[in-house]
Amino acid sequence: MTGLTFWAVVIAGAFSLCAPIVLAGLGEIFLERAGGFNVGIEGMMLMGAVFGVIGSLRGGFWAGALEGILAGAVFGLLLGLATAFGKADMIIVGVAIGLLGAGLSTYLFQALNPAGQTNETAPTQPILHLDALTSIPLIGPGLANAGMFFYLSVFLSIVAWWVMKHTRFGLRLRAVGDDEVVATTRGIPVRAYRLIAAIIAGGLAGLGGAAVALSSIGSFTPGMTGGTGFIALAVVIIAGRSPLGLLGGALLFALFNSLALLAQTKDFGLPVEIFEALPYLVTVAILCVVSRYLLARSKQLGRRRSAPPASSGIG
Amino acid sequence: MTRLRSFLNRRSTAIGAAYVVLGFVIVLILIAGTGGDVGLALSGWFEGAFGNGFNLVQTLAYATPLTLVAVGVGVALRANVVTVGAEGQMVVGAIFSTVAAFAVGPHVPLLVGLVIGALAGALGGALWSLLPALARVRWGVNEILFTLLANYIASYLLTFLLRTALRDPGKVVASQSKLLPDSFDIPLLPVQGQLHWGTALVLVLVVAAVIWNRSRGAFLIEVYGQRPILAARLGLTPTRAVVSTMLVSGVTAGLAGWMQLAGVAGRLGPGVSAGIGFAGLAVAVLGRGNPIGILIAAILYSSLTTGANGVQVATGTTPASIGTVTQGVLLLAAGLALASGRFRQTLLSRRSRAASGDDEDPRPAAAAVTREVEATP
Repeated sequence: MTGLTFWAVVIAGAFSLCAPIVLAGLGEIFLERAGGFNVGIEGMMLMGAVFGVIGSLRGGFWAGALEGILAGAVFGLLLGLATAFGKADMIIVGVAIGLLGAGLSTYLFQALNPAGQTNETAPTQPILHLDALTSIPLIGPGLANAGMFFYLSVFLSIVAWWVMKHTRFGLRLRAVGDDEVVATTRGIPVRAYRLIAAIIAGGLAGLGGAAVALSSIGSFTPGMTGGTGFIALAVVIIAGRSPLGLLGGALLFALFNSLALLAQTKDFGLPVEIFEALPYLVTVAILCVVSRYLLARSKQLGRRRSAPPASSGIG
Repeated sequence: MTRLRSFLNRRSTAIGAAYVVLGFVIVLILIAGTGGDVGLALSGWFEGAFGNGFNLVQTLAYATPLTLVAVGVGVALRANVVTVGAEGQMVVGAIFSTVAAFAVGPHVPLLVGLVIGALAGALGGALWSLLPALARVRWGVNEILFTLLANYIASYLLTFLLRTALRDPGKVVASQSKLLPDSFDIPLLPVQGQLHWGTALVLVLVVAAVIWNRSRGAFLIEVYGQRPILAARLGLTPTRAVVSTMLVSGVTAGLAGWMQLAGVAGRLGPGVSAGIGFAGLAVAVLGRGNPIGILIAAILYSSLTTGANGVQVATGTTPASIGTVTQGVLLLAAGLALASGRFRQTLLSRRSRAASGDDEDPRPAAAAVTREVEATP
């Protein structure tokens, strides 16, 4: 019985911890499908976190979520303009945006809350209390008491899947990422699509950052995202850039994260740091396995068809 | 041809300068917008970075590991290999140095202590960079992701060791190691403030990098960065290009970890890398991979960090994190400026490539490289 409740607690924690990974990862999927890559994702999330707190203090939870999205989207706009229109290197701009986001979020926080002043706590996410779900074994209690960000990430994952698969916009976006030249000859405004993808990526990263700050804490600390964005980047690759795969992958990693948090309060006989490093270790390990599989598959494809069409949808 | 190129360079330099100036203006607007005094902030920055002997030495002391890391990262950047792992490599280098120092003990001459410390640091950094390098060449794992995640793993390893095996039993609160034996401490230079002999070593390495830049090896690496297929035909396989450049960047980062340990802190603590690894990548980009450029960029970058403290002291209201903001803006400006230069260079090289008839398709070599390119997202 104690074993069961223990795992129920771990799973409940995972539901709340997966939201930032899913939200930031969904944005990254849009960006990568259009041929981009966002190393500055942590900076965008930090901006989302600080504006999430500012907005939530001013106008409640939803205002915070909205301001988080807007702050991230502005950084996404910057990324899109610099890479799609300024032709700057994606990685350099990404590192710059990462620095800028880390610096600016800290700066704004310190400028608005001078040291020595007590920080107000912002309203955090509403809990839905879906009591009907409690009776489901193991995951029921967690599902019933999961916060708004979890349900938001499930909802947006489905929306993203549908947009990518069944809309003209999604199809064109993928065309841009698969083969820029072909897309151009078909009359798709490639740079505009890249810009839109970057803005979506920024907005969702901002929402993910707001989820870090407003899940349960309700205040900002410099660098509070602590690598969540980088894990999201890895999970996106592991999930093959599919929104529903991302949801599953993020839940798995959140499970390890949740275990690590519990390990700090309980003694499992192993050093705490092993549990803390576990999400990163597992991510690296799965990344290696998946990359190896993809490499083998692309070799096979290359052997079967000597010249695969560029838009064959690999990856 | 050369005249054309120097004209283009001058033009992209002008564009770059315009971006940088625009970036600084934005930062000043930000300071004014959050209630700071721009004039005070500027004079505070200069005072904090260069204003007196002590502050100047502080700036140079922080520029030392930045230059070292950036020289190594610059080599990898030439091959188009982006390693964001210097942070973790510094940590592992410092751990190796600490373990070596306590294993050998205090009864060795200074020179032996220094050599052992440096070698151990280099070895640690190299090992931590070998993992992502091998994963990339064997399985096509994205090296950016691997190195980013490896940084966190290294930092948890450090926390663990500082809590257990390497912890100073005398200290109850702060988790840090005992002081290194004297023969492992890098001696200070005879100036006011904390500048150690490692700075001189870094200058030697910069000169070595300038010389290496003109060698055939450096040229081949650069060819690999631009046209991997061509490099393979010239005898440089992707495996060797990626592994060797990542090893070099790992060694320099490991050495930087050793210097921060043995030259600055004197003992292993949680803040041994303190963002220097990330900043090193930024400095490598700002210096455009050129060792002298890196040296200048490192001092400028470092002055933004030391100067930011001056800004905070002078204005009283503007937080020192304005330094990081400025660094981000500066890097963004550099990225845009580089692009305006590179765009023209691409046009140029495409034209010359067409002229030399290098457009034929070398299938066998191409297949290997294309596979790798495809597998690396």
